[in-house]
Parts: sequence; structure tokens; C-alpha cells
Amino acid sequence: MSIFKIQSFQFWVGLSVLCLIILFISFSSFIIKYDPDVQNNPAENRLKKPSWKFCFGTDKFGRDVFSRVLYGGRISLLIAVSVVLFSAIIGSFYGAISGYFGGWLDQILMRFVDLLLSFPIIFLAITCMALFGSGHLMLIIVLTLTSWMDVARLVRAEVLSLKQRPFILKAKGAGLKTSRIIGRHLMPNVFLTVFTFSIIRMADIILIESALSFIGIGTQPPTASWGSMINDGKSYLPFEWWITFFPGIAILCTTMSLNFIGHGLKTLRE
Amino acid sequence: MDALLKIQLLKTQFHKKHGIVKAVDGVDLKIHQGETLSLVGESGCGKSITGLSIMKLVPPPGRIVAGSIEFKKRNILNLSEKQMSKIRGKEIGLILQDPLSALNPVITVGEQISEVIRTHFPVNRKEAKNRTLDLMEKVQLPNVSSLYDSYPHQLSGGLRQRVLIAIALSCSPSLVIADEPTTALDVSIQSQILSLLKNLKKEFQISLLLITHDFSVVAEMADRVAVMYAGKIVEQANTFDIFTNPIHPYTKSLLDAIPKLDFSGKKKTKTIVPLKGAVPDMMNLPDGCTFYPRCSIADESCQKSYPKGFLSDGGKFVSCFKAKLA
Repeated sequence: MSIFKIQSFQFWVGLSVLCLIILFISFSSFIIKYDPDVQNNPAENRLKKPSWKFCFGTDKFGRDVFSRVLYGGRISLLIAVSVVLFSAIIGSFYGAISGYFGGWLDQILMRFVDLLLSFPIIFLAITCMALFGSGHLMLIIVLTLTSWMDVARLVRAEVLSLKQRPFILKAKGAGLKTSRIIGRHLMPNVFLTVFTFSIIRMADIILIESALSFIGIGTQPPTASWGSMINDGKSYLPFEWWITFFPGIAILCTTMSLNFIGHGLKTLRE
Repeated sequence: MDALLKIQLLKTQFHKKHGIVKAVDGVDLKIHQGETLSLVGESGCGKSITGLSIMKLVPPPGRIVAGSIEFKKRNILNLSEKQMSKIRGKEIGLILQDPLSALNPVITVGEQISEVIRTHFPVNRKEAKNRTLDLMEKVQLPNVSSLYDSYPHQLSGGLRQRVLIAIALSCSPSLVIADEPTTALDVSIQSQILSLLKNLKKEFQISLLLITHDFSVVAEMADRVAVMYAGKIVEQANTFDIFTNPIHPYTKSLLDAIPKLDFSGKKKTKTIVPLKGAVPDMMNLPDGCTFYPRCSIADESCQKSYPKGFLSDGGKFVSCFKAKLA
């Protein structure tokens, strides 16, 4: 089972674009010429069109949009990766326990998930952020707490069918501990499903983070994230389009390549 | 001699929405030390569930509702799940039918054997690996050191079944339950696996409960045979007696359904006599003798009640009204 067997053109395009984005973002400190957060640029540099000097233009404070897109990408991707990772871990264990034991425990655990899922994520996030304050850490916590349930449902469904398979009967018949059956025999078998789901989920998280920053409760100024940049630029549309356009394109490229990769991985599962 | 395993009036039932499936309905069995008992019958007559009941691994909604299973003089139905997990794998080994699906596809075969050893013995990884390699040689796997790190899909069917045997024997149990161990294999591999099982049985001094529908396997392996129909044991006897002098009409029909080779040309060619009908709907068993609708010698009296079993001369157990006459 090697990823080189994936013959989807989309997958390879997505992977290359994503690698390129990650490469740019990781080495952003070597690429950029201007500090992304410093505002005291000369007044004539404000709201400049994209040019050789500022290739993505500048915003209302004269900050270089190119530098901010790269730095904002760090924040957006960091949040997305952590949220997806933590919710995959929590959701996998929750779902595996629910599915493996079944019965009333499964009923209780799954009704709790239903309860949490009945709230819109954005609404839940806004409430939490309003109560406990904003900040990157809080954003990660809130988004994790609101997105692990899908993983739990997915893993539960998978475990329900896996536990009927003879190799689980063999493991029980050999007297293995329940913790080992779940951790060593079930988990590796759901890994690819969870991984594929998480990749696609990452795109959603980037969008949600952008949306939260856009309404002003996500990333706080002067720190840049893609969503907050779009928020900054919205009052200058349609004339100073570059302030919103480039972070928008960055979100679009990232989420699309993540989706392409996710769909490519799905074919691997079959 | 005391029996190693003594099952009395075991009843395992599946309570479903539309009724109760009596998969095992009052089974009595004994297995002595070092003996091979073969449980034969058609598909769906409760053989496998009997085997799983002994491990207390009946899948839900199935439940053991009555009876006792004494293993080494302890009634295992009274044991907690924790005590039971010390018996599973350590005292009773389990070999399943399809060796590919019975092995976890994402764990190496060596790891799947050694994890059982580590579960039941306080040994470190290295010691467990050494024991695993020994065991793999005992079940005649080739190139054990490279095979240790292979995945199940890289092995052939025969090799996979050897791995499963190694898992079942890893903690030298006193009883092994083999549920159709050769059904998924082709004939030449079958005979290899059977002779391997026979040798290992002697070497490890284990008793074997062999669940099968294949009478050639029975003839090759078993000391005694129990024929099961619709959740009940209908005939139990020594292997030789079953083949030479079957009494219950069900046993007779099963033996008649075996294709035979006859090149002599002297006899009138005896064609295969298929057993008509199928195992009855277990939710809706006929009154009286459950075999009555398919039986060739039954009359009205068979419809009234289920025949109590009796011991015929020679220690055979048969439950049939007509058997005395036949």
C-alpha cells in the first residue's frame, strides 16, 4: 500500500501545490523584505498597487501584503493542523470505545455527540470565545472541542463493522486485553480513514478560522492570519482589491489542494 | 478418568426481535485428556456456537442461558470476564476457519504470535520473539526469521493457517478448539495441515475439539464423533463405529451424501444420495423430533415428542425413536 499507486491527477496537483505553499510559509523569514506587522512605513507606501517593490501591494498601514500572506499562513496552518490532530486523537478513542463496547455505553456516548453536533460550530465558537477570551490557544481549543465529534462518529461506524471480523474474534480468543485489541488491532485499521477525513477536514478548519477572524474574534491584530487579512481589506473593496484578493487566493489554493489530496487518498482505501 | 471438558445441558440462545434462536439446545459433551472429539453437522446446526460457548465468546445478542461447562473441574460459566481472559489463549486455544480474515492485515505475523505470549507470560520482547521463532519452526514455517516480519497477505493460505495454529498453541493450552481448520484450504494443503495438527497434538499433549462438516477430516483425525443437528447432539460414538455402523438416520444420510470412488465395476454404482431439505428454521423448529421432516423412517409418533437419547450397546449415544428397530 504505497501512495505512489495513486493515479489521480488531482492528487498529485494538490500535493505539489500544498508542498509549495508549505515551503514558502516555512522559509518566509528568508523570503520577505518587510516586517509583516510593523506599521510605521512612510505614508506614500500605503494602499499601493502590486508592483515590483511590493509584489502583492500594501494595506492601509503600508504593510507588505506578500509578507503578511506568508506569515498569516503560518498561523492558519498551525491552527488547522493542531485542531485536526487533536480532534483525530480524541475522536478516534471516543468512537472506538463507543463502537467496540456497544450497548448502553454506546447509546450514551453517541447521544452526547448528537447533542454537541446540534449546535452550529460557528455559534458555539463565538460563545466560547466571548466567554473565555480569544487568542490562538483558545481558538485551537474551541475548534478542537467543536470538531472531534465527526471523527468519533466515523470511527464508531468503522469499528462496528471491524469488530465483526474474524481477526478480532481471534484476538479475543487469544485472551488479549481489551485495551490492546482497541489500541493495537482496531486503531491501525481505521488510521487511513481518519487520516483521509482529517485532510479534508483541515480545509474546513482553515475556512472556519478565517470566518472567525473575519468577524473579529479569531486572530487579533496586528498578527496576520488569512481570515483577519480579508477582514482588514473588506472596507477597501472594490478599488484596493489586492488586500483581500491574495489571502483569499491563498485560502482557496490550500483548501482545494487539501481536498484533492483527500479524494486521492480515498481511492487508496478501496 | 475424569474429563478435561465436560459440557452438560448447554443452551445458547439468540434473543432476536422476531423470536428466539436456540442455536445450542441442551448439548452434552465430554472431552478427555489427549482426545480428539469431532463435532459434525451441516452448516447452521450450532457447531461453531458450541465452540464459541466454551470460550464464552458467543457474539451478542447470543447468550448462554443454561447448562454448565466444566473445564479442569471449574465451571467456566461462573468465571468473570477477567478470569476468562486468562483461560482464553492460555488454557484453551482457538483456530478459526478462514486464515486470511482471522489474521489482522496490518500487523506482522510474528507480532501476532508474540503478543499472545507476552499477554500470558511475564517475558520481555526479546524472549517472546525467541519463543515465537521456536514456535514458527514447530509449525514448519519456512525462513522463520524473514517470515516474522511479513504481513499476512504476503503468505499463502497454508502458511497462514500454520500461523494461526502457532497462535493457538503459543501458550501450550490443554484444549484447542479448531473450527473448520481446513475448509478454506485446497486438498493437498489440507492433508499437510491435518498431519501437522496430529503431530503437534501428540507433542503438546493437547485435547482437540474439531468442528467440521467434512467426514474425511473426521476419519483422519477423530477418536470420537458427535453428530449435531439443529442444536442437539443426535449421535455420539467412536469414529470407527460411526463409519461402520451409523444408527441415527441423520448420520446415515450424511454418510450417504459423501461421494465415493468405486472402480471395481462389480457393484452396482452407488450414486451420491443427497440429503433432501435443509436445516430447519432455528426460530421455528418442528414439534417432536427436529429431524422428522427430513427423515426417511419417521412416522407419526416422531412428531409427538423429542426422542430422549439412550446408550446403545457399545457405548453409543443415539436419540431416535426408530433407532432401536433399525
